[in-house]
Parts: sequence; structure tokens; C-alpha cells
Amino acid sequence: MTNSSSRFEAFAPGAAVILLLAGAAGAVAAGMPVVALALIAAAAVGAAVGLALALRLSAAVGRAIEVARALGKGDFEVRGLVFDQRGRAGELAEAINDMADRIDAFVREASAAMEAVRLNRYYRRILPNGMEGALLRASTTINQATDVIQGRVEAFEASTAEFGATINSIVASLVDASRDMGDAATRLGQGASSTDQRASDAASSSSMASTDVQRVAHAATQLTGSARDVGREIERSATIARDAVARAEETKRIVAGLSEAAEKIGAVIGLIEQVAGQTNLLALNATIEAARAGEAGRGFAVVAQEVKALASQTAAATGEITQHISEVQTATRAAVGSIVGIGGTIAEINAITADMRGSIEAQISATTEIAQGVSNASEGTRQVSDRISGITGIARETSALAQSLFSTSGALSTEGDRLSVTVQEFLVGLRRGPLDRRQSSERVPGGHAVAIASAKGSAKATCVDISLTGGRFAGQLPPLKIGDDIRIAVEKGVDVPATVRWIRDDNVGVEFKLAEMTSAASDRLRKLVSKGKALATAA
Amino acid sequence: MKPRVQPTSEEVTFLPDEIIVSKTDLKGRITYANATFSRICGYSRAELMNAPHSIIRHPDMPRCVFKLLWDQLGEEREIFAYVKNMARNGAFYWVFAHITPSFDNDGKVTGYHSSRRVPDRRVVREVIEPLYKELLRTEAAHASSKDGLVASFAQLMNIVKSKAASYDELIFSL
Repeated sequence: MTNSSSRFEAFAPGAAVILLLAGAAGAVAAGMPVVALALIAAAAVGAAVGLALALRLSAAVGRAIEVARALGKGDFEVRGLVFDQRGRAGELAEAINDMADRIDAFVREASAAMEAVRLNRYYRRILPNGMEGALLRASTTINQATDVIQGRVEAFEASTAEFGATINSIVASLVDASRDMGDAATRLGQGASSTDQRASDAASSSSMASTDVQRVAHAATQLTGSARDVGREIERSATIARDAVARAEETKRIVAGLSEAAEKIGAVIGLIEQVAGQTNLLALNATIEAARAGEAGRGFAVVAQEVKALASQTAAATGEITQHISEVQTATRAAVGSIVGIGGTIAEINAITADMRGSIEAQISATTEIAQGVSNASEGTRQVSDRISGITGIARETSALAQSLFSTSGALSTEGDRLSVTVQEFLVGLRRGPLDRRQSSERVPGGHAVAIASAKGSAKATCVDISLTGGRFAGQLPPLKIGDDIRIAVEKGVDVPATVRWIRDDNVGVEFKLAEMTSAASDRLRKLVSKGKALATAA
Repeated sequence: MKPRVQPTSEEVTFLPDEIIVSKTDLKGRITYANATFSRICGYSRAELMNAPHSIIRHPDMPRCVFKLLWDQLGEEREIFAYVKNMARNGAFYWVFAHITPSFDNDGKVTGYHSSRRVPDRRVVREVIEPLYKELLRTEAAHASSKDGLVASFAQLMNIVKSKAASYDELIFSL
């Protein structure tokens, strides 16, 4: 259908009628009524054709208006459903339908692409095929916007994943470190307490040792004193001995003088004896002479007799004296011998005393040294004691520190766990935002009872909410951990395989394993979700 | 009306700026077909109107693809699919179909809309044809058609799972 043929279609019936009527007028003027009638009849037919065409076109325009109005109101379901018309009417219908189709396609594509972004699916792009002009440009803009969002979200995801991993590793190290620290603190505490115990033992031993040492020091001091006394006594003995020796020497000299005097007395005695002998002889001579002189000599004879008696007495006395002197001399010699003996003995004593003094001095020096040593030892033990008490103090402090360290490490560990949970929740929160790539994440309320079975047991739970890809369940859950494979029995014989994604309090979030789902389970799940959706819509 | 058509090896193509458009009711009966659709498949609009969409179904298409399609539409989700269709004369034509639910003002699904575009021939040749052959073989290997469908659907889901997070993502990655 070309423009000229369209135009022909519009003009032809009218032009034909005008021409026919003009012809008829001509025929009337020319007085040819039959021809005129024929031409009028033909014009009437042409007018009828024109009218039919106009009605058809009008109907097509009416449908076009209807479709255009619906499109204007955003209703893309309406189309011109009178097909395969010829001419302008058909052209109009197809053009209107084609316009509706392309705008419809764009709107569906654009809203689906945006819906995908809303659901955090960034792979969805508008297909450019079939889009032209402004529709193509708008599609390109939307696709570029999605590219940018995807880029940002991926960067964000990478950052958060890295952040999560980093935090987790930090927390793991922290928890490890704090556990190690706790262990160390426990060991430290045990060590400190044992040190304290040992130090206390040592302190009491040291204290005992100190007392002993003090006693020894005291004894050593006393010993030194005694040794000094002994030394002094010995010194005194030595002096006395030296005096005795001197006196013995003097005595010896005196006795020697005595012996000499006795010798001299002996010599005098000899002289006296000589005198007495001569006297006796003289007396004898006098007697003889007196006898010769008779009576005149009698008196003389008596005197001579007396002198003779005296001489005899003198001789007797000297004899006696000589004997005495001899005795004296013997005694003197004996005394000298004794004195010499005494001197020797005293000298010996003196020598021994000197030796003893040496020994005593050595002893004094030794005991002094002992005393000094003991005093040093005492000082040493005192210092040891001090240090031990220092150690005890330190050990107690260490123990206290260990205790505080232990509680700190516990707190640290708790904080680490809390950090981990917080970060986990933060990341879960983030993922629930732009990172949530779950399909059909639109959740609807649940409410029905299910049985959750894991490898460790099974339990009854209630579905809190559910989507086609996962759900949240609450109740007395069996012991579960993240990553566990479970089966959720919705009704007898229909169970849905799932993986545990998160656990909070008595709530568990699961992702359904769509690939392992039986068609019965899949159908049931769909029904549950659409029922939930209907309920949510009704509410 | 569904005439028995024998498939031939003749291929029909259309232009990249053309869109084959159809709308169906909730049961898949055609309520609108555009001129391009009519021209490519060879049925007149009058023939197409109210006909089941399966009028152009090609026997080379595995049933599990349609199951997936209807499952996803049942969840009110759009779906993209590479579909081999059969024209009235038995010729085939490949399309990249984008099917979406249509909603009324209350948000209720009133029918479905399909825009079909020229598919990427490389994807059809290298990925889709071998995959569909495989799925079709699985479907044929079971005595009961129901079992065959279950098996091929599971197979399709496993292939999807092994390659991407979802079918949609996989389709867009091709």
C-alpha cells in the first residue's frame, strides 16, 4: 500500500461521484435523460462505495482512538483486533498495534530490568533488538545505569566481603590470642601462686636459717670473746711464768751467793778450826807450863784448862757448823738444781704458752673470721629474706595481674565474639540490601507448621515467612549450624531440601535447594507462596 | 484447531529490528498476534486468535523448558527462553522469547505477553541445540512422559545450578 494508492483510495470514490454527477448534469443539459440517469445511478453506487470506505476508515479510526486512549492510560493490553484490512484502515490498525507492541515491549523490558535491580539482580539488561529512536536511547541509558549500579555493587560486595573476611580473621586472631592469653594468664597465675608458695617456703626457711645464723653469729662472737679471754689468761700466765723465771734466776743467783757465803763460812770455819787447834795447843802448853809452875801456875792451869775446853767447844762447834754448812751447801745445790728445773719447766711453760698464744691468736682470728663470715651470712640471709619477701610481693602482684589478664582475655574473647556477631549481622544486613542476590526474594507471611529434620534430629517449627527460594522458621529447633543440610517437611511425604544460612535466637533462615526439589515439593512451595501472597494482599 | 504438521528442515528468519508479539489468556490461548508473527508462522491472525500457543510448538523442544516457563510465569516472574517454533508449513524458526505476565490495575495477572526477537545464532548453535537434544533424549528415555519430564527438568536444573546462580542469570550470561 503506497501513499499514492492510499490517496487514490481516499480520493477515487469522491472524484468518481463528482465526475459522474458532472457527467449526468452534462447529459441533462444535452437532453440525454437516460445517460443522465445511468450516470446518476453510477454516481450513487460510487457514493455508496465511498460511504462504505468512509465508514470502514471511521471504524478503524475509532479503534485506533480506543487503542491510543488505552495506551495513554498505560493499558498496553488493548490492540486493534480487526486484522488484514486493506487500505488505510488496515495500515492504521497495524501501525497503531505496532506502536503499542514496541512501547509495550519497552515498558515490560524497562520495568523488568528495574525490578531486577530492585531485587539486586544485576545481570538483567534491556534487549535492544526491536527498539528504535528514543526507546533505544532510553534502553541504553537504563542499561548503562544498571552497568554502573552493578559495578558499584560488585565493588561494594568485594569490599564488604574483604571487610568481612578481614574482620573475621581479626576476630579469629583476637579470639585465638585472647584464648592464648587466657591460657598464659592461667599458667602465669599458677606459676605465680606456685612461686608465692615456694617463696613463702623459702622465706620461712630463710627466716629459720637467719635465726640459726644469728645464733651461730652470737656463738661465734661469744667464742671470740672466750678466745680473747683465754688469750688474755695465757698472756697473764706467760707474764707470771716470765716473772717466775726471772725470780728463779734471781733465787738461783741468791742461792749461788748463799753457796759462796757458805764456802766462805767454810773457809772461816777452817781458820777458826786452825785458831781453835792452835789455841788448844797453846792451852796444852799453858797447862804444861802451869804444871811446871806448880802452885803459882794453878790458877793459870785452870785458865788453860778453860781455854782448852773453849778450844774443844770451838772445834766441836765448827765441826757442827761445817756439817751445817755442808748441809746448807747440799741443800743449796739441791735448791739450785730445783731452781734450774723450775726454770726449765717455766721456760717450757713459757714456750708452750707462746705456742698457745699463737694458737689462740689463730683461733681468735679464725673465730673473728667466722663471726665476720656468719655476720656476712646473716646479712646474706637477711637480704635473701628481703628478696624473697620481694618475690612474694611480686608473685602476689603477678597473680593479681594474671587474674586481671585472665578476665581481660575473657572479656576480649567475648568482645571478639560480639564483634564477629555484629559484623556478621552488619554484613547480613548489607546483603539483605543491595547485595541480596536471592531469587524471588519477595517474602510472604507463612504461619503453617513444618517439621525440620537435620542429621542431628528433627523438631516442629513454624514458618515465619517464605519465598520461592528460602524461608524463616521459628520454634524448638534441632541443634543446627550454618551450612547444615536440612529437610523441611511441609506435609507428609512432601519435603523441601534446604541449607541453613543463618541462625538467630530460635529463628533459622534457610535457602531452598531448588535443583534437588521434587516437582511435588516445588508445586507445594509455589502454592504456599501464592497463598501467602494472597493473604498479604488481602491484609 | 491444530493441524498435523510435519516438521521440515526449512528455516524461516526475521529481521533484528522486528519483534514477534503475541498475547495469551491465562490458559495460553492467543488473544493477540502481531503482523510479524502471522507473517513468520504462516497462520493468519484469524487462525491464530484463540488458538493455543502450542500451535507453533516444534517437536524438537524439550517439554521441561515449557514446564520451567510456566513455573516461572506462575510465580509472576518474567522468563527468557530460546525457543524453536514451527511454522504452518513445517519450517522452523528460532526465537529468543521474553514472556511476561500482564496485570490489571489491581495487580492481578490477566494473561501473558510474549516478545520474540532474533536469537544469537552462536548461542543457539553452540549451547541451546545440544542442550535441548540432551533434554529431549532424557525425556524420550522414560516410558512414562511424566517421569521423563521430571528427569529432564531435574537435569536442566542441575545444569543451571552447575553454571550459574539461576536460570535467568545463566540465560543472560550466554
